[in-house]
Amino acid sequence: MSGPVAAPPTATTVPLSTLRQGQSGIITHTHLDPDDAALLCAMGLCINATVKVIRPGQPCVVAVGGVNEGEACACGGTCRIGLARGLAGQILVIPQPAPQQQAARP
Amino acid sequence: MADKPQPTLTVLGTPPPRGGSSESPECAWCDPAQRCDPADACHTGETARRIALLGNPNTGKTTLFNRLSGLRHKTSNFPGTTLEARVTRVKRGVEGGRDGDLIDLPGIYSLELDQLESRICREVLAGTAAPRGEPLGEPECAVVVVDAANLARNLMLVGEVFRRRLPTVLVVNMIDVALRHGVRIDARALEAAIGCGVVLTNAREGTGIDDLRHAIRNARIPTPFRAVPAGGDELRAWADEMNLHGARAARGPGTGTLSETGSDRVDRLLLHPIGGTLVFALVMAGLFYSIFSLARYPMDWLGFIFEWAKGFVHSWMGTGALANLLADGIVGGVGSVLIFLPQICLLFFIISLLEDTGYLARGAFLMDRLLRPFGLPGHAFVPLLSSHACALPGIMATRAIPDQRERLATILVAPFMTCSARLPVYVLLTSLLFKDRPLMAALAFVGCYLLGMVAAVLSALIARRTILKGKSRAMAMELPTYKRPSLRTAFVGTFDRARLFVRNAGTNILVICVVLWWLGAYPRVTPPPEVSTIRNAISGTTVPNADVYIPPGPVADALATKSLSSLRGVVLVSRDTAIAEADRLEARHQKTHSFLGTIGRGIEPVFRPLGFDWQLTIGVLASFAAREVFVSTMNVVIAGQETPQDDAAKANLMLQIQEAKRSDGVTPIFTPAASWSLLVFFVLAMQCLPTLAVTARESGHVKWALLQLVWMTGVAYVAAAIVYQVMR
Repeated sequence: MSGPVAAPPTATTVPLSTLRQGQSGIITHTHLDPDDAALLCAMGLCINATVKVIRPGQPCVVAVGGVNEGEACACGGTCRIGLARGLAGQILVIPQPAPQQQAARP
Repeated sequence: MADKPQPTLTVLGTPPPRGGSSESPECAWCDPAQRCDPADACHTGETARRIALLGNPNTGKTTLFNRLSGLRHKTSNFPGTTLEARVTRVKRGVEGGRDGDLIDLPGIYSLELDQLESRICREVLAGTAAPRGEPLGEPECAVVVVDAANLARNLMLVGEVFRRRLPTVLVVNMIDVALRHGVRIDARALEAAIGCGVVLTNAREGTGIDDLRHAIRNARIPTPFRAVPAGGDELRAWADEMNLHGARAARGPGTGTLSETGSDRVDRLLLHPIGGTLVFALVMAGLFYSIFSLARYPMDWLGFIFEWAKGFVHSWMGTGALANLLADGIVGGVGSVLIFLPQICLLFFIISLLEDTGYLARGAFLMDRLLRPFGLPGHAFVPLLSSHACALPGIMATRAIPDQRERLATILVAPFMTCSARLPVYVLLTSLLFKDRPLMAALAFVGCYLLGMVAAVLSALIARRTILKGKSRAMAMELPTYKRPSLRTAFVGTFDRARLFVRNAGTNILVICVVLWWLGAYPRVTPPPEVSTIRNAISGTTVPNADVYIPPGPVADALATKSLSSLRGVVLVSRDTAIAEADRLEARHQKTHSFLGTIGRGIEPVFRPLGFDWQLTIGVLASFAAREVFVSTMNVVIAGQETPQDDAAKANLMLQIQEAKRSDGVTPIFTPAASWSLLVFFVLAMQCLPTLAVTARESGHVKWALLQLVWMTGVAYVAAAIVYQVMR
């Protein structure tokens, strides 16, 4: 989330804070101010990054994946970022289907 | 990337053979077992190389620094900031060469963020900032520590450092953790890709440290196979590309997916709003118990040692001015501060262990909800809790707060918390207010604690909305995987804090204590006539150890209750009683006519709206060094004895204090209104000079200590005046 550069929210985007436990999403846009956006981006929460909600609520704990589609997490899946609920509410994501749904697709 | 000339870095050729050669001279900077070339920098009088150590938070940077430094490092601040800077001398490797001064920079996620830590790192790398006491100058080498298990993100910072065109070494730390999670680092491939020295380390176990020393000596300006972009998405892509070269999945497909880990399962409990808070309360109760209760034993031992030392000085040097200065001023003054050393050591040891396990980051989130409305972060909870034992360790513990404004706010309000030094004052005043009503006294006690807490958070709110105005830092933190804490790191960290505290006690606090002792002990005045009467009566007794006859008069009247017999105004008292009475009267006279006593009488009008007479004013002034001094001062001023020996004497002293009268001879000193006013004053006032000294040190400027003094004293004065005027 390097500053305001981000795609505008669409009908399919939802706040990160609304994802359920275990649900993943791809970050598309934020309503954060530039300083907070820059900090979160430096922590790995960038536009196009895949996040998975490990624990919803306060704090909202997310696992951060790579920015390329299908790329496994470089940290071995161990990096966890805790976000205040208000902060998570300002990050918009496109929810990703659960793995079994993906597998069911032709 | 702009071309930049290669800095003059001493890169030695073939290292001298181990054990040295007969032609090579001894070198003061080198290992005695080694000899090196006379042309080496260490023999040419050049200064040590400056090496900057930086990296993301939670990469094991501090553990690595401790590995390199052991206990040999200097701790200071970056000028004008609360940011801690540690510097250590890194000895050359076996090949010879120059030593280096390694500067431990604050953990950052990016050099380009608008945060104090990032700014300091930028300036140190540019050579425009340096730790206090260190010369300015561009570092000759940058050592960037990255987490092997989180390489892609960490490499973004590496890219930013590369753009500074400094000789750089990349330290890939925690390789054991990465391997456990299925990530293997190929150092050679990574080195080839990024074009600078790569060292794999496990700082916790000490693996790779010698390789690191070698790499630092041979650091070169990085030449990555693809130029580092300025930032943004391009930099991220660059970091991902470098990561693909260096990190390999060690366990094949499926590795590295965002699946639930053991830490996540533990977090379900530890971050739960109810369960997590309960666990946190238990952990904090254990911490509080340790610093309050377990530390009591070594504190008692220290107290015993200092008392013994005072006695030894007196028995060796007598009771002259020099002996008094040494025993009461220096040993007594420094001892009264150093007695808190066990609390400080225990607190920092436990905090270090908790931090190393990864638990404190969770605790900060839990407490954030509680403290955020007052402009304080969740990190402030531990310092504020610790301040209930003593504000000194509490203020020192604020180093865990990342935001400068929030840290300053916490430092400013921490002394409002009821520290253990206030307890003797609370005991005295609640006993006077609620004699034979222990329940009410206990409630008053609890009220004092609550008043301190409320004053602290409201003061923090005011500070954050005025002088420390600014946006709070986003509550976003990396939650490190739970792991076994390192005892070595905890010991080194504790030693560092203890050393800072002792140094402070031996300098600023020593001067303050000596000055206050001198004000209370001088000028020496002639004993009052009553003392001469008693001493004459004692010396007139020709039989050794015989009882003493006191001639009729005010002294005999005063001793009537202690007399063995009396006849026509002449009282017979034991020799010990007579000596004790003479000492008591002399001490009281001396204290009331000392500089402090004179000042107390002079500024009594200032404290009159609070209901304090000149005797209470002396007590308040004397306790400016330390609150607990109030009780002993009142004992001396009112009863002339500092510490009663037995329960009966204590009860008698309490009675004397309760019945003590003001100058009019009718009004008690401790009326209910004056006692309540005094109690409120002591809850809120900044009556602790060592705390001010630590505040000045930790905040980086004496102005914050002065502000703390003025604010707390002002609040205490106004609140106590209101209480007195309402209740009188």
